[in-house]
Amino acid sequence: MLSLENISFSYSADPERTGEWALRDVSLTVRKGEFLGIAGPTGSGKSTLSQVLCGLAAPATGSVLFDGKPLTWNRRAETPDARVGMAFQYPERQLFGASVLEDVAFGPKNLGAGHEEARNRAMEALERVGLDPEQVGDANPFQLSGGQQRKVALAGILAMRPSILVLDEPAAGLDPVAHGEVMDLVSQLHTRDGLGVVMVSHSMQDIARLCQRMVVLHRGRIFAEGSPAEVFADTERIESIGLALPRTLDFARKMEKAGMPLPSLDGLFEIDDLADAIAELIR
Amino acid sequence: MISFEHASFSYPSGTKALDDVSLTIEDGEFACLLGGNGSGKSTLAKHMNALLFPDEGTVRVYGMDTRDPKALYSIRSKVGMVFQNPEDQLVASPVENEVAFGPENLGLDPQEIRSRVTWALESVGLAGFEQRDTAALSGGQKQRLAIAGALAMHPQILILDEASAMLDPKGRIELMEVCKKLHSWGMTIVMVTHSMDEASCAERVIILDRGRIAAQGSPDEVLCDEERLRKLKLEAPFSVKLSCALRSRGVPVGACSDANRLIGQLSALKEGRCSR
Repeated sequence: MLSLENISFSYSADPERTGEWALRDVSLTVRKGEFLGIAGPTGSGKSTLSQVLCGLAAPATGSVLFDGKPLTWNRRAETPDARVGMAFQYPERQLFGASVLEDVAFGPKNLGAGHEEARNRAMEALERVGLDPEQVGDANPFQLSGGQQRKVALAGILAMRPSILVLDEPAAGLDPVAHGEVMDLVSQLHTRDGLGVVMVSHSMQDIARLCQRMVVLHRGRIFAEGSPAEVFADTERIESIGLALPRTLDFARKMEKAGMPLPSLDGLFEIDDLADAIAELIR
Repeated sequence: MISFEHASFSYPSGTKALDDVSLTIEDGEFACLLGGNGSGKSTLAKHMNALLFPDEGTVRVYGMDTRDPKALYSIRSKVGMVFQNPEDQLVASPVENEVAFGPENLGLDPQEIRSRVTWALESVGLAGFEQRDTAALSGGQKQRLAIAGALAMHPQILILDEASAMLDPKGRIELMEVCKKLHSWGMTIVMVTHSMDEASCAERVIILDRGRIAAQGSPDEVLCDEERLRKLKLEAPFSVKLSCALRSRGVPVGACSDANRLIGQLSALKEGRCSR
């Protein structure tokens, strides 16, 4: 379990004076094996929050606890705490290995694993992201497609065997097919492998469909929290801070304005469910 | 007007990014370029204002060959370009200096520069932001500022290369509204995007696949063929998927790339009228 207690963070040298807080008094718990979504407009603090969650950014005040103990950067060994793995936006931009296997094995090696052990972990991680190590292991990562490169980058994080994975916009910039594949993969890592996942996303549809719980940030503070059905129930409040609704809800709202209200919008996040409700109404 | 005649282009790595493309972008058109990762759509866009040149074939902007060094200045002043990351293209602060940067480089007189800055900021909905620090704007505002900077050069064609990719939903809507307005004023808009919903706002959709034009036509013609879209690593817009799901439930709606028109069909059905 990962918990944040009264976190404040600022990029300003003197936030008390300037009032420029990226995060202000945020308390949040990521439960074991949970899939948590983080939404919010640009500049609301999402990326900062994800960096605090994995111990990369030290908050000005408050504490980050993993199973009750502070999450630390082990300065002596110069290795970050590997229990929370973090994928930045466009993680493939950090690929550097001459071969896929070498790149994925870098993390475990850095954590002290021997050559053989690191290689085994890398093979296993590649399999977990749906890549065949025999097929792509020796390939130059930069020769792969954008979607495959992203999977290799994710494998590099999984090879460090984190128990929680923090993903900042994991499908940004991918074409729709690759987007779908990466979202399926993330969902699998959660359901099949039991990993806790924290996903920052601008896609309300992805968050609504996949996450058990979601947090909405606005100006560095928690603006709403709950299951997607609960959070999106107050559509006007969500829209007031410039967030979009999941497309299914957005469509249902447009129907309402056109004089065709659907009986319930509760948890209406799949196209098939929306189509069922509309078919019922038209009949 | 931009015309590609049998244009091919390979990157130094050997990747063939454009393969015998012939295409004309007409004056006053609103066109969207779609395609999977690596399909060549950004490469195609970069040929439109002579950032890249074809290895074979020709690209002409208002009749000028983009490979003619003497035409470069004239081409770039006619074709403005906005890129994916607003941070990469803003050079000055405050906001009015950013917009004035281009016209100042043209050596225009101060009166003319001032009027262009005012007009450009008004056009993108940033009037009143003249003295703001560029770095303190939101992502959507930065991207609109980048457009204002391009507009101040009085281009006839505006190209947006995945300009909405890093914006939140509100920023995307603001950007699309600005594009629609500029188009209604007669400006030619070419938008490279991954968003099928954005593409459904265009007049013409052009889909690239492995450097070739795989499909083109109106959004309804191109974006309703789910199977073909999937083969091209794309997906149908939301309203097309929904209309398909409705038909399979016996609701007789036509495939439709625009949500409002789909609602119109549903409304007509509900009132018992024929939707066609």
